[in-house]
Amino acid sequence: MENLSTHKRFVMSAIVVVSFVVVAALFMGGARSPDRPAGGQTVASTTKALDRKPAASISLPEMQLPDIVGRAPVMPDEIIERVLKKDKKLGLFMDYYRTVLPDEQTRDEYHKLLSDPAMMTTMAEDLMDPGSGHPEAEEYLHRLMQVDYFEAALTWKDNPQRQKALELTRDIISKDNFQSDQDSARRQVLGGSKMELYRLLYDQDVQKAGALVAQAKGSRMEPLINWMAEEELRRRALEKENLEEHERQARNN
Amino acid sequence: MNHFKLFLVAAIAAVPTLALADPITVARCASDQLSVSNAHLRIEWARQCSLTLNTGSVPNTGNPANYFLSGRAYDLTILMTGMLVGAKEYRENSSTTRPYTSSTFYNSEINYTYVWGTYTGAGAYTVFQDPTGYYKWTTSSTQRDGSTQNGSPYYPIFATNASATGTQLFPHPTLANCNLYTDKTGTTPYTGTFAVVGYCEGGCYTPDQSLRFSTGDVNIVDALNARRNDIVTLSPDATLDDPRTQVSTVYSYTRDLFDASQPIIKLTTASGGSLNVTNAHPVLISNGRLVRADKLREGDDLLKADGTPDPITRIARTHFWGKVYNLRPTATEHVANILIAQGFLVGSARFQNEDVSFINRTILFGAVPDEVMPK
Repeated sequence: MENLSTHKRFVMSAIVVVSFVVVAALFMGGARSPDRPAGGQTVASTTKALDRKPAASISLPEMQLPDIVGRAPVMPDEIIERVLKKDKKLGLFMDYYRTVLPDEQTRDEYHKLLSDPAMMTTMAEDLMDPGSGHPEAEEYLHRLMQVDYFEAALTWKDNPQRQKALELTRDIISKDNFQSDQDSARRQVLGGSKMELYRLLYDQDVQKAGALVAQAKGSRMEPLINWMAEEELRRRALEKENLEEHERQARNN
Repeated sequence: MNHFKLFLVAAIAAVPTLALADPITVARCASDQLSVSNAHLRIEWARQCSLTLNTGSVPNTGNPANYFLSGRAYDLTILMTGMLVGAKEYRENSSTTRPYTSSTFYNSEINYTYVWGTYTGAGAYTVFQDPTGYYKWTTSSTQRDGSTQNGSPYYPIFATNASATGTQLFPHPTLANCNLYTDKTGTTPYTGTFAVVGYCEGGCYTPDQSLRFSTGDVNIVDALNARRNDIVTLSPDATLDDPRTQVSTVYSYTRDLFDASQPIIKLTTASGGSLNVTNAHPVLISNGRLVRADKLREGDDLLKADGTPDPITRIARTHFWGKVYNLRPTATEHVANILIAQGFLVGSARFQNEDVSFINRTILFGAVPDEVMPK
């Protein structure tokens, strides 16, 4: 997983903020009124913010200096788009993935992507990589969309690379990428991705899922894989229970 | 002023995409389905409970003056003076075992989670003190129709834990207190630890709408009453050029428990067709993508069952009093969750906004117990 240095993050954030301010200034300039500062003043004062100087004219009790300069995109939609800009191939996949009903040409192009062994291998290597440090939202989303790639590759029943996709899914789940220095959030993002992939494997090839449980015996991964197998059965039982509850409610209503 | 606000919205809000929701979350949302107005009340209730119970060093000792400045959203009033200053924010204690705000993505930040669920997206908010003294955020002009609130708010749901072993819990039906209950009627309070296990939104049909079944179009209420199990969906190999269909079994029907006021979008098309759905209902358009009904504009093309584009000539926003309905086919493939409603291609109840879907999946990562992962 790519980790930007603090310096790079700062520069990128500064570029975003400067762009924001410049465009805002243009808008404000166009809608200027006598009782509001002009666009030029806005640029000047927010440039001070870029220097991380507190706003002298505003007094707020117990104020901590806000991390506005380093503001990363925070709406999930923004983060998703940032991830997809960085990872062009994943971006291409998501473009197809979001097109629920493609035309034939688009579907054929999509299928090429879903059966591309190199793409599959890259996605699998990324998912097996433990990464480092505390995972940010960007990494969560990147991994989830890579899981979606395997989901799409496997739910296409005629995928000529289906076996490879199944084997890679199994390999990602069984890969022991846990390390002693990882924080709980990183352990969770690794374990959670494996949990989703186990569910997919169980849906697509229950025998392979069973074999995975047997193969994990005696390894460090045994407790996790056993738990995922049990959780999958519990999940299915819960779904059945909910379904029965809906039926009961529908009858009573 | 308005131009500037519009800029903020345009710069920061993104067009939502729809994705299939996690099956556990779909089931839990169906068990705790709320009308739009009740969803807004649930979000406000969660904010208040978070603030009053979980922001002090020990429960019930929160102080409105103990805010910090958000790194996620600006204070609009201060921004208008040219300063970039974060809006006043509070965070639920990380040590709480009874949270009302998810720590996923928004790091238990109470006001941000509130506005994310309530509004359609903005980067700056007007900050004011609510009647309890805590700072609260609001915004306006966040939707094309000028309405201030999200027509399909994201409200929290709860369980004893995120895993499938977790028992679903419910607030009191009148939100009379911050307790959670094991039953929807609020008779058996739950005293143990709990978690936010997802965020839900609704998307349904009014009872006068018809869906296509193997015998033809059937009114959704009649279909539910007859337990019709032969819904027509697109087949997994359908394309825009050839939207072939299949008959699928029905996984479940959804019907509101109580009558409520529901914001409704009434779409009329050039061919004379009409479709009445709630704001967040997924509708297929001519590029083959699903969009929420409240994001449609006149001139956008709906798709008829045979794939023919049919431009929208009129969009009416109204309210309907009563129950709304929906169903889920058994099939889980994306394209096999496209149904035919009133002769148009629409998404099933399995679809959710992509951002909520990702957040919910991440929340479910918390189901994996730390002790089973290798040290």
